[in-house]
Amino acid sequence: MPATVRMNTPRRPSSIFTRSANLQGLLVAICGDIMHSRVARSNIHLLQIMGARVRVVGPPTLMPTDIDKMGVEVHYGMRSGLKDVDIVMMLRLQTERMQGSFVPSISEYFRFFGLDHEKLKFAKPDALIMHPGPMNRGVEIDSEVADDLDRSVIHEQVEMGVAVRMACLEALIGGRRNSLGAVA
Amino acid sequence: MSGNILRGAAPHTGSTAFINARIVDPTADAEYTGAILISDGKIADFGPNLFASGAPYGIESIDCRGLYLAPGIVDARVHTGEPGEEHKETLESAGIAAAVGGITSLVLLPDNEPPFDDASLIEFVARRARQVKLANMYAYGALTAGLEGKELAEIGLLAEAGAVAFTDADHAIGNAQVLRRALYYAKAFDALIVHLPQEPTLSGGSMTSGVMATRLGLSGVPPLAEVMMVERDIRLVEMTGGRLHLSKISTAESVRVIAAAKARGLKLTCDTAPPYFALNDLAVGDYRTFGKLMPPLRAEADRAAVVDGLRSGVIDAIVSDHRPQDQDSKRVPFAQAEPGGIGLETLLPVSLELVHNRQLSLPQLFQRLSSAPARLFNLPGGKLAKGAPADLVLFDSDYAWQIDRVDFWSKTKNSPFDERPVQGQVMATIVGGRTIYRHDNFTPTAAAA
Repeated sequence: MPATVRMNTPRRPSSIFTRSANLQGLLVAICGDIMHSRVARSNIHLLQIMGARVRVVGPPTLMPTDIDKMGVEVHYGMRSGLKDVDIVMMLRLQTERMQGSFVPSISEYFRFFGLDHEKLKFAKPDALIMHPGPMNRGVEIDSEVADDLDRSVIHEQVEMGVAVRMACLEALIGGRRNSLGAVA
Repeated sequence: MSGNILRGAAPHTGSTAFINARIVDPTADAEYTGAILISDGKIADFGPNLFASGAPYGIESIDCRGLYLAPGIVDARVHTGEPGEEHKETLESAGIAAAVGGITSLVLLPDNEPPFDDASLIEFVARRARQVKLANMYAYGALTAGLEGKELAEIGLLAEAGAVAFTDADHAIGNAQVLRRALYYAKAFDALIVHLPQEPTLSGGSMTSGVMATRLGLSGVPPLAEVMMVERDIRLVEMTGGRLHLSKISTAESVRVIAAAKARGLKLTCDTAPPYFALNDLAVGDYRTFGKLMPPLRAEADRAAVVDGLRSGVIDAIVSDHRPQDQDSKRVPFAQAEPGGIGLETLLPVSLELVHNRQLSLPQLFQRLSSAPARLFNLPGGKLAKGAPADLVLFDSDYAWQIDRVDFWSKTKNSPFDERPVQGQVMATIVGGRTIYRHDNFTPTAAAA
């Protein structure tokens, strides 16, 4: 079986499935450093294939050129970016990016692009919060929001990430199984 | 200077009519005899037929006696020494000079000590402006941290605190990557960036390269150092779709290139200052340090091209570029002198030369002085419109006098226009309906009801 599965952090949004049977028509906002994120690109591809609508939200300096040609809506502000969104996916901002070249400072980034309860209000009332981890609390996400059990599925997401990596490795190694699924 | 600054007046309430005025309406591109009615500090009505049959009964009336009445000047480039060099100029002394000059709104450059790269400084300016209670005062935020041209300043936080635009003042940004990122980042806040387009590595000389510099033995700044930067900045705007305003355009080449960029549909705007349309490098004369400016005074052909750029509208606005320098900064050998000239009190008189010389009409002049700057920087005022703030300037365009540094109200007296005979003088300045300055030659008499 040809190894067509990408090994690079396939973030299968399995947690979303626990909420809604399929992704058809769901509005997902991916927020943060889109330019330097492999997660963002994988998710844009996969979510669109599965029928979800994707928005990318972040400062223009962290937005790749022509990202709109990948079929996503581009937003430079959280107010418009999170409006009526079902899923909010926050990306990590690496420290190198914070030092004034792409983004002036942590306080500015957190004020305008960090996810807190105020900004979460723009999304749907039952919107889910995801983050591929590791999180920079107080930079891209407020601690209170990250730990809010009613909204955040981040812990579940990390757990599922491990399971999916295991499955990918299995598939690539080409493990054989009998009809009951046991290793032959 | 013979006039009075009127302090401590309460905010304007009730109604006041300015009648028998020669009204200049820049947004309507019109000039006519008429009246303006203001109410509770705002323009309530205006037009050629208003109170045409005489002064309104029961309202305070000011007879303008045929003098010109226009929206107050919106000066988008003013430097003061507050905070950091208060001995050169404070917000208060600048407010006074502005009132004398008919300027009702001004935007303060951020290159102070400390620079305005923190929200607290923007709030400081707003608080001081409220205390000074003269012209409306706004502040630029720094574009880069410490104005060093390397890292972005906190543009979002500064904008939230009230900064109206972003600039590194007279520091040109030589690093294209930095300006590119700034233009991109500013899009998130729809912020306007103002840039001085002078290639920094070529701008170390004392005056413009040319015969005059050679004769005087002064190091020269090649005029092309400006258009090189203008062309680079135009490409950066194309690349990023950001909002850019270029400041103090002084050469023919720059005007030509900007005209072509605008013709291509690029949203670029620019301004110039009176020294660049009223003086040339001959004004440096015998090492007059009052003639040392940044950018330097240019050759006559460039001056003529700047006038033409103002006439055609390629140059959108006129700024004073008021930069006070004290004796210690100017009474030194030319090469060591600090550049800069004051400009608040001479902005209108010198700009009126463009009208006297039939190069611009009065409404066009006030588009450059009032309505365009207000529109570009999204400021209230600068226009005649119902509901707009009653910020007005009453002036006598025929009043002949000579600019003399002993008469300046500014703390410092470094004007490149010292000893220049001019025609045109402010008779009264009104901010939010309050008269804050009145020239001795204008005493409003209540018109007969």
